[in-house]
Amino acid sequence: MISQFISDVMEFSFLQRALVTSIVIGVICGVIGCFIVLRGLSLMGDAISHAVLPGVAISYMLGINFFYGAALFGLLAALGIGFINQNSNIKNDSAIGIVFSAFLALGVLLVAKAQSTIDLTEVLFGNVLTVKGEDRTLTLIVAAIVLIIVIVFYKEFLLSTFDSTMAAASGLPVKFIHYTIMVLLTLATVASLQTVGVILVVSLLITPAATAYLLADRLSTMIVISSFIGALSAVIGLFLSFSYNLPSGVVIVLVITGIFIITFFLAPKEGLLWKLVR
Amino acid sequence: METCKMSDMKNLVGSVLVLTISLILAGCSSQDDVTLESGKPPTETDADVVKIVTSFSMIEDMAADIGGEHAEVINLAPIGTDPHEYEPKPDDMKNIARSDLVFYNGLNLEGGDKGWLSKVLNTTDYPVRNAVELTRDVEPLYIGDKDNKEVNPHAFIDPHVGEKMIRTITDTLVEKNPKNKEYFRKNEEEYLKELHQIEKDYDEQMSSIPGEDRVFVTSEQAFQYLTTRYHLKEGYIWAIDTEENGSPEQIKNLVQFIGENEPPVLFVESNVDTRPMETVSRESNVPIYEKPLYSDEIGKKGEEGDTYLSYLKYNLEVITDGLSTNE
Repeated sequence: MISQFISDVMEFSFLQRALVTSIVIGVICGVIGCFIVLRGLSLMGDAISHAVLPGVAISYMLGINFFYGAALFGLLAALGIGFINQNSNIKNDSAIGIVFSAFLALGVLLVAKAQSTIDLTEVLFGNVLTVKGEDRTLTLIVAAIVLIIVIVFYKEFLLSTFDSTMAAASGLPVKFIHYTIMVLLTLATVASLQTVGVILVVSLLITPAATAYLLADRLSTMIVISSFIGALSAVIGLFLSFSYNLPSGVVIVLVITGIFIITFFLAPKEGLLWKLVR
Repeated sequence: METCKMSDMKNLVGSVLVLTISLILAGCSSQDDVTLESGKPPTETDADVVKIVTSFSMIEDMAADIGGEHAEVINLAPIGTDPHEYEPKPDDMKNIARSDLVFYNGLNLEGGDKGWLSKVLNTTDYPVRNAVELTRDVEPLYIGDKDNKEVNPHAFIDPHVGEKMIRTITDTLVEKNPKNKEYFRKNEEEYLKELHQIEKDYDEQMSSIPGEDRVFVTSEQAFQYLTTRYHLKEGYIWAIDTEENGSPEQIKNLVQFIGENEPPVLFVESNVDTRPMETVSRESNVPIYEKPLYSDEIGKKGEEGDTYLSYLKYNLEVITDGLSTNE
């Protein structure tokens, strides 16, 4: 089976493109996911991934690449949630629920009205095998942006994530950092739409990072492990999807989850099995 | 100092970002569609067996009958799935990439230039000259009003169109695989003998339906190519499958149409949700014919209408029997 997959990779350029795209996406989500998980923004990640749907629909209607519309609406959602939060006593999780369900409903309506052949299934669940060269290029550019920003602002992100009071006291613009991370989250989400679609992006963002959390002591290690798991799951997922003729996005998600389960029980310090034995 | 370094860094990153974003915007801002028409004949092969991939079951049947033992036909959208929107799986992509020819209906059945098939052909870098639109010689009919005209993909419902598609298949195979030219032509001849008889039956029987019964009601406007050729008045709930199916307004309009035109019976298709038509039937007091019509797909293996030819014969029987029901 493995040798068959390897020969398939050699033979089919669409599989090569799919591999590259999904590995890159695995890495980006692994990196951003760490900050999302540590800052307790997992629900936000889920919300933004659903909130981009109207942007995708509008992009199709205007004939532009779905990327731009999706990014715009993701940002609007993040801003909207922040706005509701700060201007009323509605709590964060309610604000998130309100905004993202509204956006998602609007998105479905627009897709229905657009009367073109937007395949809703493909937007909701992704299909990395039909990724075009142009989309792959955009993904690489997004990856570059995300990685550059994380590397350059590493210290600031680190401090504001683990000790926001200290960070504010040191003069760091904590709110600006929060919104920067929201921007990076939106970009990562939109890039991931192609692999796993709107519904399952949250898995790519959160599960590798959560798995890494069980294994790492330091943020830098956590980021590396999380990216590695993201990339590895993409490869294994594509391998299984090709060997058993299954849709690729959902298989990747199940692989990530499988890795999490194994880690949950067997991780050196945090693993459940060892805790029970002790 | 920390803050000075940070603002320098910020400027640097800021400018890199602006640069990258302008590159993106400048570069690729339009959808990368592949147009499926190339106007060139397919590349030749002298293989013993031509590998053919078809978009849906009806074409699979046609291609297999003409190709016979010198063709290996693999189908993409299986019976029961919607050929308008199909999500290709890994095996589908592999089969397409390895095939010698791809046969598809066209007229936007597979989504047209922005649809799934076009995307898949694009992603697999498929040579467009080997992807053949079987309805290329067919005059398209349109649905919808003047502002929203859309091509009606269901041309194959008319046996005369079927003949054009069969001829296109054979012509393509002959160009692709001249070695087996005689074999394909012979299959075509036999097929057309039966098809011509079916066309004759359609012509005779459809014209002998009495005037006041020439009202044809179905769920989808899929039978337009028949109703236009044989001058039947057509009533339907929705114009094309991918839009709203069975909204209150559509049902109301059809019930009104039925009141004004008094069809003897209503028809429902095999692959749609029957509830909208059942509602129409209750509201208008006109019964639904007991057997379904086949529209988007042929029947499953073993059912009536499981080949294109038997599908045509079956439909003719159902239509003429239904419309000759006397009140």
